[in-house]
Amino acid sequence: MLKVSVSNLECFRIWRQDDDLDMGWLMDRLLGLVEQTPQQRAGEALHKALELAPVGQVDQLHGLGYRFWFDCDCQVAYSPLREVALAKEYGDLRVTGRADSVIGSTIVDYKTGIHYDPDRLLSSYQWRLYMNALPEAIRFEWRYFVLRPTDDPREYHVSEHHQLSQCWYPDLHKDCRELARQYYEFARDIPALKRMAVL
Amino acid sequence: MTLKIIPAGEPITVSNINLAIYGPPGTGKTTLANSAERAINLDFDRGAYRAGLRVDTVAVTSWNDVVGFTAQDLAAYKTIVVDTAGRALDRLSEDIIAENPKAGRGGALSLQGFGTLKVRFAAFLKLLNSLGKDVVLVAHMDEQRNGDDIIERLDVQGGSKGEIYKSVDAMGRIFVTPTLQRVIDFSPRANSFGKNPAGFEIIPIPHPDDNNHFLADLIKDIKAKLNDMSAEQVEAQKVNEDWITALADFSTVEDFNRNLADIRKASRSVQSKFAKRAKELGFTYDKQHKVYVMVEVVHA
Repeated sequence: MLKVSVSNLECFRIWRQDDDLDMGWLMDRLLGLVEQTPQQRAGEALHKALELAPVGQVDQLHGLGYRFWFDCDCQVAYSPLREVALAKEYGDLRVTGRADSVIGSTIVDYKTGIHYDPDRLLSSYQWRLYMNALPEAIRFEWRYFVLRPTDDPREYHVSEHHQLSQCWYPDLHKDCRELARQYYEFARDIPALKRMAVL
Repeated sequence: MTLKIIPAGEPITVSNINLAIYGPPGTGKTTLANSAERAINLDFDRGAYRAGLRVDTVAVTSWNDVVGFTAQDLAAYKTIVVDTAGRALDRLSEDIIAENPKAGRGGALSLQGFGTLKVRFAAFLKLLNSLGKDVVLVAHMDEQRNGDDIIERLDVQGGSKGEIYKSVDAMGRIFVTPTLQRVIDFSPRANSFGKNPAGFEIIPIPHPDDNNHFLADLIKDIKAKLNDMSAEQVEAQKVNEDWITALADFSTVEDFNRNLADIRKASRSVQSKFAKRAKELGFTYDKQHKVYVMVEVVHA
């Protein structure tokens, strides 16, 4: 059985849609050859900080040696269900992921970046694949934190916070299954992907 | 400025919603919007006269025409139709620049102006919601080419689209099928946007002479589903929290095996945590005997 992460499956979908992206762009991502940018490392640290944050009110958070100052007001709900591992099989392809938080029947996903682009979030298949892997999920919620760097590379300001949501819909499984099928057709003949993905 | 981490809340009763409908010209967006319950049309686009179903209409020429609405002005109406949201935002932009010329550059909003636009538009929607009104945002459709694909989305200026996405509970796209049937699709598709909390299939839109309360019925269904979701959400969260509390005390193989029947009925996310906790304690699931067992460490 082949295996792929939700993130890599989303990279595959983007690559298929964008004529300007070559095969090297995709393979670097699927094989984990792309180094994290400083912004991505900071994003990972904020995820960790949010994962560990208790109920309460703070003006800064710490995680993985980073410090985040909140320049905007935001409110997130606490859930003891954090970093939930998800998996779903589509024929001979196993798709895996990790939800940042699950609150009842809502999957919550923290995102960070320098520019909030709701079109991009809504168009993605990441939320669809997560929801399809969690049968109880009826709602998906993004919490997008815009990070602004400071002179200190391990210190960031959270300058904006955006909330966006989506819902389960009748063709969700069909759409996910079709993307999984396309990826499987692509990956099954590529030795490098078969080598690293067979369970 | 702070981050607040709060406990997951109680069920929220949804009594009014915001809905966006969009589509190409001539597909009957205004006619559909006007079939909402006791609708008033805020005609920013000067196109309401073309609608197949007429309701009370305000011909809006500037943002000032709507900004001073009071509860009394709107008392007779249940639904406010903003027709179109794109033109409403244009009128609001003009108002922002008129108030503060620094908020615009060459007739378009500056970055600061866009910030003001988002805040004021969100406040406008909040005001209408606080008066107990449903809001229907009508939008034209924008086509964006992406390789060979065409992505259909709301034709609304820049960053303010985010405010609409954020504020709407449901979003539907109107289009005409090859058999010339007008339909509305709330589901997101590969090449279009949608939000479908009620889980609707693609719905044919009846002629207003046959049904002049079509959108009122859809809004009623959406509200009912949102209220169900809210209650389910809270119930599911309670069950999940009980499990997580219990799992923290699990320490023996027997703790896991005693709860195997119950965990199979639990949510997948709790099952995932159950398996993780067992692994942390050094237990593994014996598929043959269908029980957890202690992993034996063999010392050399």
